[in-house]
Amino acid sequence: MRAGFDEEERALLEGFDETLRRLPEYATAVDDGRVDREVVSRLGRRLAADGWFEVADPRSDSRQPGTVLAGLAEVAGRRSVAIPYPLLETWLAVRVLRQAGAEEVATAVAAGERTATLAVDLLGGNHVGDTSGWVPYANAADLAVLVVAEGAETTVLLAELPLASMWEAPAIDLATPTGVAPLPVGREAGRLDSEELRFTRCLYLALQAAAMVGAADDLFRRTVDYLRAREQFGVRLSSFQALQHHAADLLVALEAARSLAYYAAWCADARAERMEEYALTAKGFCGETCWSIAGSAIQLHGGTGMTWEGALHYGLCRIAYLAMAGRNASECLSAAGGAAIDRASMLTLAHRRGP
Amino acid sequence: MGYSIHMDFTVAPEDLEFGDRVRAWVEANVPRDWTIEYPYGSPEWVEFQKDWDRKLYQAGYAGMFWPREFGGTGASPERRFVFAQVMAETGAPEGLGHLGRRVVAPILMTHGTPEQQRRFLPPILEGREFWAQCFSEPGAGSDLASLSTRAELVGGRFLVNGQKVWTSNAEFCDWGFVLVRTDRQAPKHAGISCLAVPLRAAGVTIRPIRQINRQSDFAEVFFDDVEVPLENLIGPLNGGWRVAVTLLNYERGLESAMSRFADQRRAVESALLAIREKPERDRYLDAHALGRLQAEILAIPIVAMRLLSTQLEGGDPSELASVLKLQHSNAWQRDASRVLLATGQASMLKREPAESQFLFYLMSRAVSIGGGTSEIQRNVIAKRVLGLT
Repeated sequence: MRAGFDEEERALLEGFDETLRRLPEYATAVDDGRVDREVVSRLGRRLAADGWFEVADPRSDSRQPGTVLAGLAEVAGRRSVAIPYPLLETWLAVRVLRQAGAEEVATAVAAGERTATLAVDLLGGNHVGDTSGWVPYANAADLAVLVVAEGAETTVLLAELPLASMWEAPAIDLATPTGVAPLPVGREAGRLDSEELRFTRCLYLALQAAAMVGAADDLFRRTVDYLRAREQFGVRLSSFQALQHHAADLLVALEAARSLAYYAAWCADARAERMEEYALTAKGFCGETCWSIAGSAIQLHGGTGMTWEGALHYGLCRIAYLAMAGRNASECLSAAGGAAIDRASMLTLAHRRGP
Repeated sequence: MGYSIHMDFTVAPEDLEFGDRVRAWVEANVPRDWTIEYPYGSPEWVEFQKDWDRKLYQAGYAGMFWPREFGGTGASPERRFVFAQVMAETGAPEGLGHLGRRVVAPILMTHGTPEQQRRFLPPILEGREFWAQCFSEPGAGSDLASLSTRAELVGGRFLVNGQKVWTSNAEFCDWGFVLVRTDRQAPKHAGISCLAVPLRAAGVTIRPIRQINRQSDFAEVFFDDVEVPLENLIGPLNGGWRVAVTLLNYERGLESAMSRFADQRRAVESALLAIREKPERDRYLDAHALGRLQAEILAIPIVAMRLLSTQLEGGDPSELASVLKLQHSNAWQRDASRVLLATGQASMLKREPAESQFLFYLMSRAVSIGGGTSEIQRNVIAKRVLGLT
């Protein structure tokens, strides 16, 4: 049992953090609502150059388990202004394309030669009628990967972007411009087997959960710093017990969320029995909890929390977007709770790898 | 790159097999509805609990958490985790000796003299002597260090006078692990010592307290000129505060969290059965509430595993340990009322399983008070972990 990262993994996460710190400036583009093809491809080239897409490539020697990808997602989530790049979607796209046999495209995406995104609602099995559902960065990526599950068959479609038929769905999270396309769209790139579809869905939920934990962690740490620095009534805010207790409760909630996110990622890696339920539980709990932590961060910052300059809104909107994208957090909890009701038994620790 | 070692929540097959053996042993040795068969506090209950302590010893499980040098198993942390989980999940009794085994014994191993270890540890392990923790007083609850029960050195022995409160199972125990003031002039944390006091000695009066769940888990303990030999001083004279803090840390540890996890899981599963009786259309809100509740409960053992891993790697577990106590107290309280609401009106009926559910809810009110209130725990997290002062 090792319920944490080892030294090598921690070094990898720090290396990723270092790459993110050195990315070309992007906050202005986010503020101006100008996250376009140029911004995205510039960031993508830099991330690819340091090997940060290969980590999700099953053919690469640099491939990482889902737990480490969750760690990387958390690190990315901690950037106060979210990186305007479809990072999780690229990781999943590389993996899905490889498993579907679309080797050439997968290699180009992993190398950063082409930027890819993913129809996240379709992947999540979200009901989207005759459309693709949300496609993050549809205006800015080169390719969209659509995973269409119909009965036992799962087809992977590949659409060249931009699509004339796609309409914008302007997102509250300015770092994530989003589009929706009517189906059918694109060409078939291959098929996924049912086990791979299960894994991909679970991994995506766990990565979203970890990304939300990262964003909530950043908001929480900044709030603690603020309480220690800000003075009122001649004393620091951190000396008021009401605020201390509020902060302590936030830490407890954050650690519970973090635990569930990593556990779900491990369950996906281990193909543990009921891995879907762990993934739904993690996404659902992290979505509701991190969103609530973001609200508390604003409250504890007072008026400053309501200002653009206070910059808490980036994290809040990022969390809200992630909580809704693919499968909404509360629906995830309902699905996990429904499974427990049907079985008349609560989820407990998996402990074992699956077959 | 190529990183082969990674996070792993699997438990080794031999530890899982061990868990299966323990599970089978518990099922063979514990009557399924022992909680109903032996009403709490009855003479039958006391005998049943003591018998369980002896069975644990005979099966080699009493020393699961003890090092070999004191007669324990020296089991690995993973195996201890599995043991705690199985004992909790099977609803096994804790035994009257659990405080002695889990809390007093580790203190004696750390702070006791070799003579004290020889005198006190074997009877704890074998289920022959039982201990109670006498810390809180009417005037010293959260502010424990302001305790006023005093022990004076008179004629080569201590003379103890004062009153303790919230002492679990005092009337059934042989020994009290008692915090006393031995120097009234010193600053309050500096004048405290720990004594092993025989609870059947002359001058000790025990009065049970009836709680809101109608049971009497706790008692008041009065000491009137109780004579205690010098060799019953545990740890240094006036150095008892550090010993007491060690005890509180054990009380907030892994076994306690796992036990709460299992209690909560059982309560939720009883609600699941009630929800399944409802028409499909009425289940939507329940499904969400249950999903949320399940997530909160599941996070407890995962934090416990993270805590264990941190300890194994020589890291500082104090942050997660502080979080864990508050986490399971918060979760239990929120969830106990959610279980009732999800079950609906049936949960208000004075018949099983509703009555047990409601008693579980009533007891949940205590978890944020006993072993250090949640408010104190929040103070600790805010000040020591987050640096908010």
